[in-house]
Amino acid sequence: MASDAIAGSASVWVLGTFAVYLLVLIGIGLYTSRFMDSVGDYVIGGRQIGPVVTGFSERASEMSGWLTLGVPADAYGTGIMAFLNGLGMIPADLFSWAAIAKRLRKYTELVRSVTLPTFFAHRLGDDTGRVKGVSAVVLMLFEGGYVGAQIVAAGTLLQILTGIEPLVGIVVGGVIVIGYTFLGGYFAVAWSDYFQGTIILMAFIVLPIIAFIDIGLPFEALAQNGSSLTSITAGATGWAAAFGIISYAAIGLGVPGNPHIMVRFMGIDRVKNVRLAALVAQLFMFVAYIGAAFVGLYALAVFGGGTIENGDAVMPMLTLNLLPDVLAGIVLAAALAAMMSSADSQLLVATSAVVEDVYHGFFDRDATQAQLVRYSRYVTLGLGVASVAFAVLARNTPIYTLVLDYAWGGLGAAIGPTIIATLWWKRVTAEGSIASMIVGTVTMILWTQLPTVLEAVGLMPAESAGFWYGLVTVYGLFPAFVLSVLTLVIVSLFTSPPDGVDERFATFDKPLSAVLSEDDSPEYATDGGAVAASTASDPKVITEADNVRNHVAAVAAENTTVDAGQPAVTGEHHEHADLSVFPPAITREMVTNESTGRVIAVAYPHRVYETETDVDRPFMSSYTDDHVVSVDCSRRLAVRADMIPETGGQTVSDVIVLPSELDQRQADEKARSQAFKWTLRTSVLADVPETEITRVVDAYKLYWVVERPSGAVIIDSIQGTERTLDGCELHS
Amino acid sequence: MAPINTIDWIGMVGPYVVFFGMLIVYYVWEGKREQRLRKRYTEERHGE
Repeated sequence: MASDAIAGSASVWVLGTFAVYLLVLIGIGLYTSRFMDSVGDYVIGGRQIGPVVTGFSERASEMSGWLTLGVPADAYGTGIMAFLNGLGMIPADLFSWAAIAKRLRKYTELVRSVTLPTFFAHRLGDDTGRVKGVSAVVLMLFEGGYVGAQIVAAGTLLQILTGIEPLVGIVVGGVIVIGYTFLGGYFAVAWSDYFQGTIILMAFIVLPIIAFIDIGLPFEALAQNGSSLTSITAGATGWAAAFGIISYAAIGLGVPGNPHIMVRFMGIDRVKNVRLAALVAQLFMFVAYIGAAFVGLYALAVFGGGTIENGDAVMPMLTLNLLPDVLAGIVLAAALAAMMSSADSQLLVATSAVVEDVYHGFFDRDATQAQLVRYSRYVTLGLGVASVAFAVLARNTPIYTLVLDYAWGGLGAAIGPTIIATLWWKRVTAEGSIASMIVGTVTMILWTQLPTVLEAVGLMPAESAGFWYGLVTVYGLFPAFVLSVLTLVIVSLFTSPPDGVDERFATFDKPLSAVLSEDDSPEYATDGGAVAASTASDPKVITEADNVRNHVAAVAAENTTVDAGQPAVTGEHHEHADLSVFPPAITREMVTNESTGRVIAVAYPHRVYETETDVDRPFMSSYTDDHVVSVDCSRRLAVRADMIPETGGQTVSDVIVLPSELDQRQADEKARSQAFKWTLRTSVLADVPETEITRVVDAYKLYWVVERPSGAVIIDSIQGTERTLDGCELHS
Repeated sequence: MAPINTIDWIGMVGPYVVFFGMLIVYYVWEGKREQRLRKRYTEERHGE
């Protein structure tokens, strides 16, 4: 067998380079981790990630497993029909950039969400924890499926390189992935995905070129291996061909539901970059999908059809066959590193979904940090072991199918419709979203097993049954997505949407620059860090405008300044007040010109902390996770900031000074608790980390309440963002 | 005989050509849209 001729016979140069590359990567990771804030900063990168990296990493996150080994395997098995892998994916990705990216970026900035479950909960006005809980369970299930698929892929690579048994390869791969996650995921440093992705993409360009120079186009060789290999429908006709094409196209339906893609959208830094990032991501896809298919086709031409039992092996085998040993070692090591990096982050996403969103958010809101740390370790280990067990059970299933059926498709069907609806449809409700997630998940799982079940009970339609056979064997994401959408629409129409949706949707019609800061690095930017949810002092409201409304009392007070006919803003009004403030980027003079009435300042008390969290790592030296936490003492919110801003004393005229609703101890506790949560999300902790507050700055953040012909607005003096104040009118 | 017939060629290459065209249209259209939104927003903001 051809695979035996190569498997395990990789030269010492290949193995040597492979080992050295991984060791160097670990070394660099260890070295740089001392200087980096946290892996979590990369998750949405403080929203400072440039267009090329954003576009590239949006795609590179898929380079592990599925695209690297799975698509070449698909091409090896089906021939030129594998080019249709891009049929749904490329336009769906373009649709996501065009229709989702900016809206999601704007909205998550407004509500300061960094994870999809928290975004859903905010947008759907669900404070019961149900939306968060259900979406977290979906994430746990299908991210776990991803981890299993990465473990199978890692096992396959190890098998090809060393010749070990597939089962041993998977177990070793699993141990490496879990151990790596416990050790802190050193590859997951900022440039890592980008770097591995580049190497693999280069391999997808170079391998077909070398093969082309050697043997020309592969199609002649394909035709000799079977006429179906040169047919765009793999030789199928009628319904079989139609459902085959639908299956490939339906892969694209998974794009909006996969969090690793959506998170990239949330992290975009500037308005003009969305377009450029989309261009980079799309060009990446063109190269990757065409390259991956050609790798599989050239494997057919080089090794012959049917000679390689495990299709997942064709990419590494062709790499070993065509590339010089040292380069082959680098490419395969990069592929393994990418798989481990993906598995590590997928395992952590699943863990935080279980521990924070389900356990802490739902079952035990009073859980201590020690409990959360302990449970995180257990859950990571448990999910890791479950993923290895899944990988062992599914080891004979191609990686291509594993990812599509047990990870990609499930997330696409369960989460995708809700993502689209929350950004485009005002009528969507929490109940509709929950029902859609459940139906999407259940349908995806059942449809995947449908042929097996029908076979077992003797009801499986014969291939000649055309339509029915095609329907039963079509890629499950197609029916699951359709049913999930129908459920979402029907249930939503029978239930009530949350209040205040109109106003938030109005934001979508502004240019992104009106929502985000125009500056490259605003002096005092928050990245939308997760809202602190301490039970002792839960966040009060979501936006500043909401807060002002909350301060609008039913009875006009003596110190009234903003008036909506009857109500008034409470808080203390001063004709002149000496305050320590964050110097405004948008000054009073700038907004006075555009006001038809008087401009009033509202001062929000903030405490900004610099914290250092010491994280112990097993077998390794501890590291320090640095954070800047900005606590809005009026709204009881804690969000991440890039830096402690400058402050200065100012005499502010005509200002309402809002009271702090946290005393110093509560604010300190909130900052520490937030720093702990960020650290917990990014690492498996050995113990409750100590968080030391190294610096505190107290200052007021100013907002301008401005009257316009279209109504009053409140303008953030630092970021320039503005929100309408429905119903409030200012008296001049 | 050519190893791939015309329909298969079209099925293989056609989608990518169409998608490339879509990408160019998106890139140009999105730029204009953002410009238009920015202009409208500025006008509204200044009450012009």
